[in-house]
Amino acid sequence: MNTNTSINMLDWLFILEGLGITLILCLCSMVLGSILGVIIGVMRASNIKVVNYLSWIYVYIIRGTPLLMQLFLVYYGLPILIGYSISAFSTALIGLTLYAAAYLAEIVKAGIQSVDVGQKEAAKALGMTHLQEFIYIVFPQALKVIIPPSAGFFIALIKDSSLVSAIGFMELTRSSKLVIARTFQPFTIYLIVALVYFIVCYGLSKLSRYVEGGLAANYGK
Amino acid sequence: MGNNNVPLLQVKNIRKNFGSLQVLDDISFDVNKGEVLTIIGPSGSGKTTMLRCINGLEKINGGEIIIDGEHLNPNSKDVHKIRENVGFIFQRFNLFAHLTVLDNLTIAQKIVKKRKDKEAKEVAADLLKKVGLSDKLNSYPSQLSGGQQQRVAIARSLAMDPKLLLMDEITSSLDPELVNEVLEVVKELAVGGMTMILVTHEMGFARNVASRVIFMADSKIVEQGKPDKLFSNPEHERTKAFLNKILNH
Repeated sequence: MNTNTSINMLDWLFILEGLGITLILCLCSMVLGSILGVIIGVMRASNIKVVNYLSWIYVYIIRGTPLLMQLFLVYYGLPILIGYSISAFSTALIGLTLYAAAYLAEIVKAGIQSVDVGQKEAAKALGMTHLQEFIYIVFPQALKVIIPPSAGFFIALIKDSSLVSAIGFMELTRSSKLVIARTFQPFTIYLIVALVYFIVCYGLSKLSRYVEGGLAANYGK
Repeated sequence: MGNNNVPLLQVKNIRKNFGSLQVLDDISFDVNKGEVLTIIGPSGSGKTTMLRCINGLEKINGGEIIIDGEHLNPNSKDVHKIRENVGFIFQRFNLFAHLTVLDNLTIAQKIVKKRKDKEAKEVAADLLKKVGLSDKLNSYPSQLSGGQQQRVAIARSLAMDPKLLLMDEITSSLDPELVNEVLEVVKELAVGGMTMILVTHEMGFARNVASRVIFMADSKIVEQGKPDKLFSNPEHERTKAFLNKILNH
């Protein structure tokens, strides 16, 4: 057992591994959350009352409760519900996906509703079905409105993902805690970990600017 | 279908209300193949609503609309099939903002008419030539003037080979100097035998291009007839009053 309390190479690798897991976790929950978010967002924008109401309930429950509680509920509740325990990664992924979907759904809904009604009427008048109208006309235009706030939300999600350390999942924050437990240097370690979160989030915000710029060019403006 | 003795469009006793407000009250008329019908009347008389009912953009509360032998039912899942045959040109153009001029013309050809990309592009290029915009193929709608956008919108509708074209005040949101370039295109279509219904405030144009004129006021058809007759010798007081106001300002 190493009794030296200085921060060594292995500690850094351990933290780096935590970062990798954080990124994988966030990427997966962003992808799954986006898919679910688009579906629920379409439901939120729907004129069918039942569909609209169900999606509304989902969104407001998720947005009205702390992410930490949701993670605990998935962690302790899901195994009871399905009868067997699931891995910490699955728990974290499910929790973050459900959370992301609710926020993205509202962004998607706003994007869909921002598309001028004239665009939809023109699609109808050309004989497009409801689905064709959505896929080819409404959604591509809604995307322009959806992407900037979604990028902002993804950045927030990376930071929020530190909460999954509370259910014992070994991501960036959790791995740094373990290194601190051995080295007793919380300030240094947390400072560095904060910097790592910052670099990732800053990079992502730069990337989203770039993507938005590309979309604006697409409209010939 | 397509029987020459049967009118292309039959509008029978249609009624429409928005809540308690009646906007169409027992409207009936026919349009034969090749006819150009213009609809005039004061704002709020129901002209635009009636036009929108004909391709199911608004649902009627009573009566029936028969297009080329087929009943239009806006609640039906198949309403899009009827719309394929009925082009609609909007006051605000409504070109697809995220697509180039070429893509605006080809997208519905490809996904609705199932035409191959090459064929759709050829149809588009021909039509853009016809409306004088061959050089704007790769422009986006935001890069065009209102008159150019409206000409693209007309070409977009024509690409679907409609049997009937509905035009809703298509020059009303244009700068005055751009009105003529659009009306020229419509005139050519009329000469070419396209069946059209135009809601318009351009009285001179309504008179010149129409084979028949309908005057609407207060949700009803007040009178209809040949343009020369209706404009120079209207039967109803309401028509006279309207024309006096419009023509002598």
